[in-house]
Amino acid sequence: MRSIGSLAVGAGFFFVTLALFVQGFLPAMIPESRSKQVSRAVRTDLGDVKWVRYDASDYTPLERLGRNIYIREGCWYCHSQYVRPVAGEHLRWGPVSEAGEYAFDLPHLLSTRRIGPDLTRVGLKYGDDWHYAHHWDPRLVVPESMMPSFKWLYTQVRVPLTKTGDGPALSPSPALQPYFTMKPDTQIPLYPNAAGLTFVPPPGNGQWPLDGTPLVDLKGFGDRPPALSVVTLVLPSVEMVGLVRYVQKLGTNRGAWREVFEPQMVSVPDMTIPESDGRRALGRAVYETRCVGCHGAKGDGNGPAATFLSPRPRDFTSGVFKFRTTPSGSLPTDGDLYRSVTRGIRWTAMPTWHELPGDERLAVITFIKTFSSRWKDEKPEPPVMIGKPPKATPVLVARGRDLYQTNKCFQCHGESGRGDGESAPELRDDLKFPIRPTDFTRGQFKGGSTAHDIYRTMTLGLDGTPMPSFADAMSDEERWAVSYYVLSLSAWKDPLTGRPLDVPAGGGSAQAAYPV
Amino acid sequence: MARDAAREALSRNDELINADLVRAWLASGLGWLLFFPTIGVLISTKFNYPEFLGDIPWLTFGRLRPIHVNGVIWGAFSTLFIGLCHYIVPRLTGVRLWRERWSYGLLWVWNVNLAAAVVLLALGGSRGWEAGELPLINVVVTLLGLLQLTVQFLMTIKHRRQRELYVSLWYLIAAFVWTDVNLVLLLLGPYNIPGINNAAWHGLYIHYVVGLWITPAGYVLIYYFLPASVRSPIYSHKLSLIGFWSLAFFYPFVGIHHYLYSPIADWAETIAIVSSMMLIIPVWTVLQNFFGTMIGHWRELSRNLPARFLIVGSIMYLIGCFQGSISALRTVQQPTHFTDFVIAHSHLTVFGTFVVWAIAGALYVWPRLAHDEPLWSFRLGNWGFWLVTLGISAMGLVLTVQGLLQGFRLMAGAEWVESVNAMRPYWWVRTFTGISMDVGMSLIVYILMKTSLAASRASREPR
Repeated sequence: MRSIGSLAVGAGFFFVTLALFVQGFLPAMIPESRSKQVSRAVRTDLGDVKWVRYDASDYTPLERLGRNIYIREGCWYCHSQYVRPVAGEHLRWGPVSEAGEYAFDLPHLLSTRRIGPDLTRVGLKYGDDWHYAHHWDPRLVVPESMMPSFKWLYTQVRVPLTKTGDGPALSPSPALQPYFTMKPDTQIPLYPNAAGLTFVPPPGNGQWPLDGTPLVDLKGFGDRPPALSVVTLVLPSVEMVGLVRYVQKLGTNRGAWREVFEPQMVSVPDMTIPESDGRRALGRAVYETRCVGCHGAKGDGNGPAATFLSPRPRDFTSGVFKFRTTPSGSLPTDGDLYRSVTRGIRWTAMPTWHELPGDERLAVITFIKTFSSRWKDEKPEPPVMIGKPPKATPVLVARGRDLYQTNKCFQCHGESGRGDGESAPELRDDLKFPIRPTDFTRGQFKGGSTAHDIYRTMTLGLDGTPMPSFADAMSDEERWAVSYYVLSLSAWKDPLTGRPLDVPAGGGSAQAAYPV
Repeated sequence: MARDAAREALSRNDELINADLVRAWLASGLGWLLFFPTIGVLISTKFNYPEFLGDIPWLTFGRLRPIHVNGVIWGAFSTLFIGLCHYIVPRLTGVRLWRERWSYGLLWVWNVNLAAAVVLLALGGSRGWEAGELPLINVVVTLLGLLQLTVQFLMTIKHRRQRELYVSLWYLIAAFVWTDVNLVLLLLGPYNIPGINNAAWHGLYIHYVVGLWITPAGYVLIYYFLPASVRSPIYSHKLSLIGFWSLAFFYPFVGIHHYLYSPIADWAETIAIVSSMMLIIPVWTVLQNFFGTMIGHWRELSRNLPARFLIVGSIMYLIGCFQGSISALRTVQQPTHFTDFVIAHSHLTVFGTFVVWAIAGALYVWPRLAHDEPLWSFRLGNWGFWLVTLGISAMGLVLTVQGLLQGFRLMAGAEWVESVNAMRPYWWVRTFTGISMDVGMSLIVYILMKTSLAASRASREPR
């Protein structure tokens, strides 16, 4: 090597330029790498799930703000954003990543390390409430988590309590002014945990104040409320709200993929788990590492994270369960509980536990049953047999629409099924906590999202909630008709926003499983 | 002939070196060497104590990690490297550095830029490309600094007295020219290339930092300091040539192996894998050159600290690069990608090899700048050597084991948190290995400072 010139040009430019061309420019020339199209699972108007090719959508300004926070706080050092077609990842996280999903990512956030789980498919896995609890203190909801907390993305306001005839109330404080309009006729109930930590659900756009007066409510603790002299209000900043919006957006360009995600599906077996001390001990261990943050050490739904959560975590001491195959008022079967644990309760803080080994899921169920004496005194009634559904037809769906009107489903669930009916704000569950009717347009059904599931809910009701059984009010066929109609409300819609997609009806393939 | 030229170059030209300038750069480099790796130790404790320093935003894992990574690259390693270049280039060219005083100014700019980067990253100014998080202003200043050095070194080389270019200078020219190009990519890439192609380009960038900056820079050092410290010519000029051109040919292609099994085109991933495997050629070639140079001189290792560090770095390089090459294979990557296996590779190479070589260079040069004052304490230096060596060896081992364990657990369908819990004891060990390396380096810096003090005392006293 004699000349500097040839060195500089040869090594410095020629090879690098060649590599940049082959490995940088050429891959970018492939149309797929620049396409916005992804395969997307959509619900059809007859209740099936189809895969269609569809354009990924851009982030909203609030989601983009959240994405910038995700970059700033280095979330991506521990959370990757791509699902590989190997190592069983499509069974752990969801469908394998496609190029179009990254169309609006600048810079990309694929990441090279998973100290925490991959987040490609985390959108809609948990409710917003879970994320607010999790970022405040991850160990509230995942006791063994090693994620740091992000408390500086919240404002903390300490407010002393004064005793009144109706129990403790927030003392008037100027510190509340930026966060509440203090309009006297609108009450905003807040539910402190035993340590006085009190989450305030933020406005949807993250812009405070909330329109109303905060009201501390300790009824979750029943007859023995904690003696609190001061509470700490926890108010997410707009950055935190944006971060949650961004996280919820992740993966939703693939639409309703979760409806065809095999690992979380459980047919409802009439199953009885054999009880033994060993299994209960394992169940306790599982409960204490997985469930205790929300459901509480006593199983009464008063875990330290409960203040963040709406709906509240299940109170196992009451022995009342929403999602059953057994008649209204009966205990559920073990199979019902197994299904709830495995599938999770969509759009709430209860995640899917399909990753947890089957025997641990079974064991924790035997442990949960130790919280209420109902399990000793009663036996679950036999499951109600559900016949074969009639074939979905446009006529049947139209009939369902009429029945939705005549049976006044709209009073709670709203005219268009958005869960915004006239009486929705007033609804309370049996423990007097506010409860929101399901927004059908998102297709996120807590008890399952097939016509079969909805039919079951209509037939058996949801114990402990205002959702009654319609077994007497409607005939078998009528209930099937309404079920299909309810499903059709989320047809061709985006599960994240509930907004209609621009899909030609009848398009797409009737592929059952998701593409790997 | 090249051998003779090299031998000659190594043994004279002392008067061409600006000792003050080299010392100033090295002192800064040694300071950063104590600072940036320590950040790594600090954040590694968070694996077991996530709430440690938790409520202070600028002390969180997400803010400190880029400071550690960029700091080790541009602070600890590069500052030492640039300082050592100010020693090597005049010796190998036979002329004083071109526009020497520019380097005084640049040292200030360089240090202020690093300090500013620390502050800005702590405040959350990350640009979001791993190993390229530096805020825009810092990228610009780093690029301008390197451009200035490129011009200074090229001009010095142009005016050289030595007609033959010693192999260190080939790598020096290449490292600077390549990295000037790469920093332009960092300047433009993150916010201008949308979609999955952003990841492909980032893969290229990130491996150009290690492959086209740290690697050739490290070769500059060992090709100079190994023959110099054991007083033996380099083993084979032919191997030097093969090593250089195979590196120049294969290294630019490997970047996409960071994102295998992603939606980046399969053929591009395959090219990256093939060239990653081909990297075994330059790696084994240069190592054969280094070990060959030691033939007949292994006894040197008993009292020669720089040579010891250089050889330990070479052994780490053998292990770390073999691990790197095979982990580019798709089958190996199925379990190991996303795990600490990758972190083992990056520490074995960037620290275990290149930072260690830079330490060796500093150990060689520093006493010579202090009027050939002997090392203040060989004993302490020896302790430092062993703490660094055992620390990085144990770290490489424990992280590799962790990666395999977690990777295979996950492939076997383990629940996520379970797979993480199994890592906790190993993370403890990892923190202690880091502390060991830190203490070792502190001892080295300490004895160098003591050596200088002894030298200045000696120069004040009449001999």
